[in-house]
Amino acid sequence: MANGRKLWLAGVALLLFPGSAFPGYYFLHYTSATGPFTPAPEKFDLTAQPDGMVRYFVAAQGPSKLAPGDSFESVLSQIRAAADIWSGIQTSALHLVFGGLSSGSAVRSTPGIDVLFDELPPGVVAMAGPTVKGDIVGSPGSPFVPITRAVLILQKDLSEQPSFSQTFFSTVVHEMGHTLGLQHSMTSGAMSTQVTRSTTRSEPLSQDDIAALSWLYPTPEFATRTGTLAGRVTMNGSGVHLASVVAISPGGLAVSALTDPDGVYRLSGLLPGQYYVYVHPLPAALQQGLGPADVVLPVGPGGSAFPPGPVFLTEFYPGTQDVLRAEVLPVAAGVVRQGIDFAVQARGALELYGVTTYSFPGKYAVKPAFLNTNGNRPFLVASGGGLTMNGAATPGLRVIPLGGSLAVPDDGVQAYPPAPDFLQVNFLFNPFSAAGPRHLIFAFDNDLYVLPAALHLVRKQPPSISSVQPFIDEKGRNLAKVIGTGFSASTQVLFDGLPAPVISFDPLDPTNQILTVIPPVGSSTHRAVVSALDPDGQDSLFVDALAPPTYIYDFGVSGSIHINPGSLPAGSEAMVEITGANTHFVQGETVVGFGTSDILVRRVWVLSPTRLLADVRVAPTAAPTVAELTVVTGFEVLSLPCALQTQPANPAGLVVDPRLLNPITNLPSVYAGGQAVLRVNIPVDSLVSLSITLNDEPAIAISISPDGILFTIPPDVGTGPAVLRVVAGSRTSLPVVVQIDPPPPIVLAVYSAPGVAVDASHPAALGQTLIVKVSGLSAPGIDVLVSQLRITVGGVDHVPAGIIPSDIDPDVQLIQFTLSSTVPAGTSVPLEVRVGDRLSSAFLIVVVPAH
Amino acid sequence: MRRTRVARLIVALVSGWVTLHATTLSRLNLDEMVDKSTAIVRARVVATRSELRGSLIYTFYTIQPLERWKGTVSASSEIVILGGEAGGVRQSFAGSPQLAIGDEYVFFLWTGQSGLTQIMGLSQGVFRIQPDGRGGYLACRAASTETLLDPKTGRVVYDETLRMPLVELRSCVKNRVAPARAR
Repeated sequence: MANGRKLWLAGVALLLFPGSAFPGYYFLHYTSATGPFTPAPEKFDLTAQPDGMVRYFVAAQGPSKLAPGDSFESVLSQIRAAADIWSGIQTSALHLVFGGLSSGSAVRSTPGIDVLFDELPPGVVAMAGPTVKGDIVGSPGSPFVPITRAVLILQKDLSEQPSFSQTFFSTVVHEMGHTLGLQHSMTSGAMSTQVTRSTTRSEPLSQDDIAALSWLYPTPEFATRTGTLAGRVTMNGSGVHLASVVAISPGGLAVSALTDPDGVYRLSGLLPGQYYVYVHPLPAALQQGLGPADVVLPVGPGGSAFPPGPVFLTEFYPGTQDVLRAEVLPVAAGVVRQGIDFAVQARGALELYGVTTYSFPGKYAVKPAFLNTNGNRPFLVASGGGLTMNGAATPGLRVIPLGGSLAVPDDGVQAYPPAPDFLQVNFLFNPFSAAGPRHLIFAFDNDLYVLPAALHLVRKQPPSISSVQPFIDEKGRNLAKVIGTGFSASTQVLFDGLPAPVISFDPLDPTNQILTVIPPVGSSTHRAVVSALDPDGQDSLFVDALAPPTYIYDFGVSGSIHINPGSLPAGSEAMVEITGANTHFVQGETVVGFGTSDILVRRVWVLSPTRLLADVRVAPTAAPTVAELTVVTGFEVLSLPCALQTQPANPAGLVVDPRLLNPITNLPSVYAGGQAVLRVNIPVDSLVSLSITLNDEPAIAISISPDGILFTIPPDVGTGPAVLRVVAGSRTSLPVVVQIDPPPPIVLAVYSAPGVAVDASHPAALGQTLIVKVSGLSAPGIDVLVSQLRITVGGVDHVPAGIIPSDIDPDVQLIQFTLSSTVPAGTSVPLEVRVGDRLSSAFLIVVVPAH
Repeated sequence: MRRTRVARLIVALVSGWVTLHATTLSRLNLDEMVDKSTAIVRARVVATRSELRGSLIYTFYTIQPLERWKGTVSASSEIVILGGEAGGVRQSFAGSPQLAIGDEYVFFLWTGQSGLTQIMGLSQGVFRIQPDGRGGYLACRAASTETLLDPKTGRVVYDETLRMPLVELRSCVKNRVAPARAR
């Protein structure tokens, strides 16, 4: 291998299945050959992305074969749904954006992800992983190895993998995790192998997955909302490398980490609560040259791999194999607790390992196991190393649930009669137990195997759909009635991988409950499999998989698209207009891409079902070429080959950045009558005879500085998209679209109790629930979700508990939140309300310590 | 506690597979590997080279067949494994078999429409041959940690192999291949 710059597709994780890969969490490099060790994980450099987002491109030719009734549009919907899952982690700054369908010749100069369909041999479901250069960058305290490109390969022949299946979806979620820099884990989350994975389409990520990705791409909330446990694993005084340390809560959470070559570990991303902590060895390597459980071993500065540590006995903290003697450790947000150390003992080969659990909600076995505490099948079936022997449960084997939700009776462990090589475990349920995942401990002699989320407790049967009936309502909308059983007001409906918003729920007849939904936009004759997901993790496919209900679209003529302009120079920022015939564009649902990382779509505004505007950036280094346009709305996937030609750069061109900045808040939200900062590509001293227009209305430039042009947005410009043009002397910019938001919200008052305003006489106490009275939270007729809101007090972010509309003024709303204990006390503590990027002015309140 | 008596359950993994396929896991038992392989050989690895094609690297291992148990394999065939080193670029796939030049293996091979010959289930289709210390040979493969249920029979599909005499593996393969030929 040549020295110098090398590209490493390090640790591409192969979903081969069975036991071939249970590695650690990240693809790691260490900056030194000796301790203390600073890990440099492989990850995307978000600052290298023009808008901080990572794009993924899907091969345009798609799979060569599909399952009966399946379609490329369905496959694409599942890929996009998987990407949305990873993008939706609130404590992670990583966001994935669909960059369009791509051909093999598309230029990829900006880091991104390629989803390919290739010929893989039988037995190989999918493969994925990052490509990196070997260079370590970043700060000394946070080094990393930038991912330059990642690849996710799915089987070209999907004839035996229907895209609507949980298997296919969880496979894509899992593989996509590898492209983001995650290796396998062993805590039953999405990044575990299929042996122990306990996620479902309804709960596709575990806390372990969330913590893992958040650690790689943290937001400020990651440190403030979660806690950390840290310590060291040693044997005879020496650190044990690649020991797996797991924090599990009786309530079902589990987060793991691997030790470094010195045996040091750090369990981050723990939600506040009580945890047991245990350490266990990884199974032996299956392939020569790999680490235990086929971990891709961390490497040092010279590229040499650090060898794994010895195998040892599993134990709970502090140094016991009896969970009843294990210590429960409290975890608080923002707190790092050190000194959770283990001194482990050597052992021989593992005897208990790789346990998979199944249950029977209907006629068929389902994995993971879901047990209905109100049902008549209070047992699960398990397979795994060491569980049975000669058709009977291994003598002396004990199965111990963690926590008090359920118990195993004395005779509750036996061979499963229809298949005695499987283990049957019977349970007694605590009638007061909550629903959710539960962990099991399998114990034999002095061997322990802990299976996080071994089963899920639920209180009802899974939903089941009997029929889907399309109809048109009185408003002319195409809707569908999803009829079945086991629904609730929280049931989510999917059409293949796309959610169908539920607009009403009729539960009156328990045998024929009706969810009325808005089907996603479809394409001509598309056939979508309809499924129902419950918040308890259950899926209607648990019982409907053999004959899943479908919805067939009948849109008649397929749509087509056109784009104007048809060419842009390299280095430009410009508006493009896309018009369609027989199209169904929808704001917030329609995505646009050009299949190459050289052309970036910053934002889309849908003006009508057949017209949209988009801001496009062409990379300065883009070579002259033509790009294919893809516009996707639901299942409507429209492509236009040779849509946009990239021309050579115009060095003298005037380029404006459409991302206006509010000079008061320093956020990208501007409003009519307010001020905005506009950045351009030429020196400010050459901006002569400057003219700025918004929707052809002149805007007044106030000042010019190295930061940009400060100007006033015309007061008559309405909210929504506005076309901005700049002329400076003989140079004219290409038009761009800017978003004009409503004015920022205004905090009117803060109350500590009904009618009691916070002031010097009635200060706000830490930990107290407060009510913020605010106006202008949103534009008329638009609801604001709690998830879009943030309240900052003294620099500390708070997530509101709820929004209550005022009875008196429709423009006024009341926001409830609890004052964090980390807010600094004072007599003039600023409180701000933020909706997206719209930030109120500071409202000063008095804060005192808790009573 | 009332123990539920399950008279008959079709024990199949329903992770959404319409065809009640036993596995989301794509685990191949020995019979399946024999049936789906286009060729099965005992061979020695004699050379290797890697090539960058698009965004993927393919490593080609040249093998010298010593015994042909199924299918046609020329005197100097190439097996492809994704990953490797080419043009200063290195790609590694965790769990991929690592073949050593000079070593002998039994390969379960599959040639797809592309014409490339790959190993069945990657490491599943590779058995390393090593002396058993008693004058004979063992065929060794990585252990699996999983067992599956066959949806058609409801019975356990055992994890095959691990270490078995080469003569036994040869016999199993040829017995499986022979009835097919007779048909």
